[in-house]
Amino acid sequence: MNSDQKSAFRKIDRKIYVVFFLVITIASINAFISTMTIKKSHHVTSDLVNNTNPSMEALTKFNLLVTTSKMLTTNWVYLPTNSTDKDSLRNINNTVYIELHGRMNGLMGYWKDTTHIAKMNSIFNEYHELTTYQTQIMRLLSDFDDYQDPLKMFSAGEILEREVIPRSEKITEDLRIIMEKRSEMAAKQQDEMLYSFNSLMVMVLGFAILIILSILFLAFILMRSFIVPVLTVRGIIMRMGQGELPELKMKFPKNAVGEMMQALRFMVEGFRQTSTFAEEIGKSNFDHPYKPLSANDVQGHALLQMRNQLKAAYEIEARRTWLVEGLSELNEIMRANQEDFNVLLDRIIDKIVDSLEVQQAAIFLLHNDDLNDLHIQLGSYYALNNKILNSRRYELKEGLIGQAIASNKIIEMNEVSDPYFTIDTGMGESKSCSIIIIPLITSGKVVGAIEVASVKPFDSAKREMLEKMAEPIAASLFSLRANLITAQLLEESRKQADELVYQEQELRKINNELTKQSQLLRQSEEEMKSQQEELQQVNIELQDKAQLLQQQNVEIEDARLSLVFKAEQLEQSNKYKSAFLANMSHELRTPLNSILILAKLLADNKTKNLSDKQTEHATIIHKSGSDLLNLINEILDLSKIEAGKIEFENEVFDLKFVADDIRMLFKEYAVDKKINFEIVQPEEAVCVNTDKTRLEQVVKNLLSNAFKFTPEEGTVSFTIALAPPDAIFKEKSLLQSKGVVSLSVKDTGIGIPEDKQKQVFEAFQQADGSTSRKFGGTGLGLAISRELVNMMGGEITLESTEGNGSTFSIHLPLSSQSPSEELTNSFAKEVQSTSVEEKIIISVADEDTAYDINEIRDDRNNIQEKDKVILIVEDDYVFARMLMNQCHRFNYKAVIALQGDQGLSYASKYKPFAIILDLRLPVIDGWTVLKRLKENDELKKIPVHIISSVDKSQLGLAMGATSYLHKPAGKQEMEDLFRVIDPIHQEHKKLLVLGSENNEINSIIQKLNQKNIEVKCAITLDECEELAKQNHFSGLILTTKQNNEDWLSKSTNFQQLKNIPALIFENNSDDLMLEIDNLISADPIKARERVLDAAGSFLNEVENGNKFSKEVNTRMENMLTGKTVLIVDDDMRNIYSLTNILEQEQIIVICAYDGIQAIDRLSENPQIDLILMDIMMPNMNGYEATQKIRKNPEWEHLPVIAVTAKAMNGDREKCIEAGASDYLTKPINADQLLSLMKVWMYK
Amino acid sequence: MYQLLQYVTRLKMTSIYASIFLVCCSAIPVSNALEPNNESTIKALFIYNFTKQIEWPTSQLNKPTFQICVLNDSEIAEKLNEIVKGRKFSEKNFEVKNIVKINDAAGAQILFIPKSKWKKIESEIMNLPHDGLLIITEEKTIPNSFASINLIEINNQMRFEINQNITKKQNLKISNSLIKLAFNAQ
Repeated sequence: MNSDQKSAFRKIDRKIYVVFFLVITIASINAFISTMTIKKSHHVTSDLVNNTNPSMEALTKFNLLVTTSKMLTTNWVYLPTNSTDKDSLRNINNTVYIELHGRMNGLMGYWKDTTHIAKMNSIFNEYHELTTYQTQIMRLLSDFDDYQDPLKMFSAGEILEREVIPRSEKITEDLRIIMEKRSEMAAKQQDEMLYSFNSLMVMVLGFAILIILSILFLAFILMRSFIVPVLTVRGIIMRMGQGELPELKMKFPKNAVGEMMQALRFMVEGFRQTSTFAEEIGKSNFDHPYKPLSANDVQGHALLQMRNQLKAAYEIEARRTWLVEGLSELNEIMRANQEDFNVLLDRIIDKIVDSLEVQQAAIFLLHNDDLNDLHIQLGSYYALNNKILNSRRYELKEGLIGQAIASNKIIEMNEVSDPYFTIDTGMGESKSCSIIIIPLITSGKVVGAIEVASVKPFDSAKREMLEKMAEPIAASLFSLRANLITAQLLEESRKQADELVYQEQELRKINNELTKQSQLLRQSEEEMKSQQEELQQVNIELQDKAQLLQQQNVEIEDARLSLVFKAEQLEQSNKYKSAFLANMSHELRTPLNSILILAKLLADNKTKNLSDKQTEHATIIHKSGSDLLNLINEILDLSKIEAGKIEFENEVFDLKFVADDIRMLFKEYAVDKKINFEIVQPEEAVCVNTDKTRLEQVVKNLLSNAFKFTPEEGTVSFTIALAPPDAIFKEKSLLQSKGVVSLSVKDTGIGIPEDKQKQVFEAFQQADGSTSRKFGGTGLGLAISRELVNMMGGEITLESTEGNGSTFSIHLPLSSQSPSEELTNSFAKEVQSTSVEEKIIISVADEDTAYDINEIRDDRNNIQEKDKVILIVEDDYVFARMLMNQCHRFNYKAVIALQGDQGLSYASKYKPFAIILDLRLPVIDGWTVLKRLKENDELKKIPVHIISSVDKSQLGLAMGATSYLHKPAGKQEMEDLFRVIDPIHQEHKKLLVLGSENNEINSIIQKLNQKNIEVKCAITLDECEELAKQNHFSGLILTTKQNNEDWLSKSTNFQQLKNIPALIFENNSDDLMLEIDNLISADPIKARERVLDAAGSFLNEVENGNKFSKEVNTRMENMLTGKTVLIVDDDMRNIYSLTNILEQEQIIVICAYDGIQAIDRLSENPQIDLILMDIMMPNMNGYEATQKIRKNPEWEHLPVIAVTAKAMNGDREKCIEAGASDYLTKPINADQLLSLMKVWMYK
Repeated sequence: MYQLLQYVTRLKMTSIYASIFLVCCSAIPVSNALEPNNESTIKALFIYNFTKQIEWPTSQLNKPTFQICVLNDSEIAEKLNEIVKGRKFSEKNFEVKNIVKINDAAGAQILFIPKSKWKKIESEIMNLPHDGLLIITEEKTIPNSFASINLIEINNQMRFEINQNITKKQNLKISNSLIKLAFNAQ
């Protein structure tokens, strides 16, 4: 580092030191000034805190004291009775003032202003005088009498006015002045403090800015002088690390980093030189100048050494390569010139001259063809002068050449001088310098010799080259010379022979090809001929077929037209048939209605004015009418089956359930008829996939026939068995099925003669025309059975021998699935497995809902064994989905049915935990669904929760629903519903039992505990009240009559108890449990209403004649008395018969003959409680009338029971849709009608 | 004996008055020159104090001075003069007159008729304008007409009676505290 650089570095270092010093100095000054300012502020603050503020406070207090004292003295004079003020005045003068005076004296010790101290002292003197006057007043008016003395009063007033008040005011004024002055002083102190604080803040801020600027300056210097160069160096080194040698063109800072950069530049230069040198060596330029950077340049010296060694190696390699290349070129020349001996010699001479760079050369050959004439002759030469050319022949040992050949030795002469030898050029001649004669020897034989002459002496390389060339040249010359002559002769003779053979072969080939071509030509000609014949044949056939097709088309068109015509005819006849059936149904039922009703009335003989005989006649009429009705129903059934309108609800089930049902049905009947009844069934499960109800219908029909035709002590058996594999069936499905099950009904009855056996399956056919007269029956049962079994994909067969009974067998295909498997399958699968007819029905039904079954996304495919499933029967899919979400919230799985029939089918399929049911449903309405559920032994235990916009909660509950929710239902109602559905979600309910424990009560408690209800017992009402204060009870159970009476007389005395609904327990704990259920499942406020509602749920039992409490019974019996009912019917007979039924129940009947009249009657008689509405009427039919009635808000809830003889499909739905509350078919069953009326009029 | 007792009682009473007077003296710096046991001083003090407790009609207050007339009793008039010296009534100076004729009291706010003079002037007094004129008598019982306040000595104490009917007629409003202080307020 030179002195300039050093001074430059010092300059930079000095800058940095100066900045550092500056920063530290500024920070120190800042700290010092801040400390001083804060110290000063501390003094001022402590003066403010310890003196100024307490003084101000004390002065304020003193001022207040004077004012108070003045006020109290005034009060002393003018308020004689105010003793409190007097005590206060005494206290002020005796205690408060003395304390304050002492404190003020203490504080005044800190005061610096003596005028204030003097002023305060005068104030204190003034106050002393003031207290003297106050004392005078106190003495003057010391007791009550003094206040009666005007003189004393006037005197006290005078002292107050003349002395006390002016003095007080003066003191107050003086105090105010002092306080103002002191405040000014305090404010001044505060201002000073604030000023010093502000100054401090500004100063600190200023210093901070200065420090920041200094640091920034420092940072700038550091950045420019150190960081940027260091970063540059880092970049350069990194580039060097990647093998790059960058240029350092930047300006170097004058400091250590700059020096470092300078060194780096030298280093880069060194590297560059070294790399250039290495590159030149790589190019084999070993003479590139290179000088090591210094004596210590290890790399440079190593490079030099490497160059020298490489150079030596390169030279050796070059020489070797030269030799090898020369020899290889020579070999190549010799190989290429093997034809002409002289040319070869010339090429060899040329190559030798080129390779050895000699000026003269010659090849001398030894001719030994003739042993007698051994001589050496010049073969070829290069640049020989005439002198030598003239003597081309040498003898052995003649000259050096002859000697070299004779002795087989190399002869070399260097620096041969004139006149022995010259090398002639075009312009002159040169003295030759060196000569070498090398003999050409191969396989020990001398062929000749080569002589070369050069103006330069031969180096070892050239000599070596020449020596190495000699042998191959000799070998080549020898072999060529030897072979040339013999080869030439042989080749000539071979060539001639080859040419002859070749020509012969060519001729043969041509001959063969010509033969083949002529054969192919013949063959193709034959094929062409046969193809042409075939084509002609095909063409003729095609023409025939086209004609045939045309003919067939004409026939098909004719057939189609006739089919269309027949289809139309069929459709027309079908329509006629349907219309006929509907009308027949209506027309037959209408008169039957009257017959049945009136016959029933007569048979009942309620008025007891008919003889037994007459009653019997009436009974027979009724029975005949009923039989006729059955016949009509069966005809309708048969026609439905034939029309394919019957609905099948297929399911996979085990036939043992059928056997169980059959056993239940016919057990009693068999005993009554004294017939042995046997059921034989296999132990393992036998499953079929069909409509269970329909199958049972067929079996029942067969069995009832069997019982009918079997005499007493006979035997009827029902056997379920797998058909033998060799059994023969006609039905395709049976033939295709893996297995067939046979359900056989065997009797020991009269049997069927063989010739009649086919007839029995035809409609209205029995084995004997007299059979029906003897055994009854319509003769349609077997026809229906056969059709049904056929529709199930099975067949029915008969084996019978006259007199020995008959066996009817139903053969059905076995199901490949078990019921559990089937349960897990989706409904879509079920659709596929059902008949085509059913599919049509489903698709028709689905048009109403606008949802395909496949679109319903519920949990049916996702039900596990432990899952609780809730069945949602609801036609509004959106609402159903909402309900399903609620189900999920309460951890239930949900299955949605959009139609009533689906609901029923799913109920038996999934056995849900609970059912949520809408009332207005397509296909089958909710009421029917509920009714069927409650009629089914398996399903009746499933709680049904109705959600509907129909306001018939009492009816719903009466029909067995567990709860009834009105639409639209809010969120809270929905949650309440789910709490009702599962007791787990209910709040923990508590019940209070009044009475001493006994067995009955214990059993109740046990039952309640099972229902997760906590029970508390108490002996007296007082204890009950105590418990009720501590707990919230849903109900109180009174267990004894005494309790009951106590309760009734005293309940109002108990605040808690009187609000708890009470239940009176008599003897039947089941009734009590029912009521408790109602009590706890409802809102406590509505509990009493609910208990009342619960009574309604026994309605069915009442109707069935079950024993029930007398009160309810009476209420139900008298319910219809005095009610008004409107009968709307165009048939006088119906009106007459209905009127008779109703009048027996003391119901007032109003009649109308069509819809228009009905509405008129309704307007005239607002007291009408119920309408019985016929549907088929002139002028205005029942549907229209019902719709009009519903449009009037007054009649919105009026029960309308549709009564119609139309019993075809969809009638019921139409009625309900029109607004009818319920539906009855003619002929009307009187009891059924009355029950229904009670249900609808029950309130 | 009775007279002696009366005398003693009188002495006792005067001693009490004297003490009150001393109080008054301390209260009223200008009264230092007054003699003790002076009944006139007490009466004057009463009269002065009445001015504090009574409200006069506006017509009387519009006058340049507040005039107190004493009927022919220079001592009381003198005492009164001493008491009101330096004091003001509603920013107005007091003016104390010792009059000989009743008619001289016309325009005055207060007329003091010393002991036993009432009967003599009763007829004359009717001629005076009564509106806003406070007539103070010194009789055994308060006269039924014209006199609003009557000074009376009871149990050796100076007390006073008020006839509120008269004060009302004369448009004077007497404060409740004065009424309470009165021995008898009709």
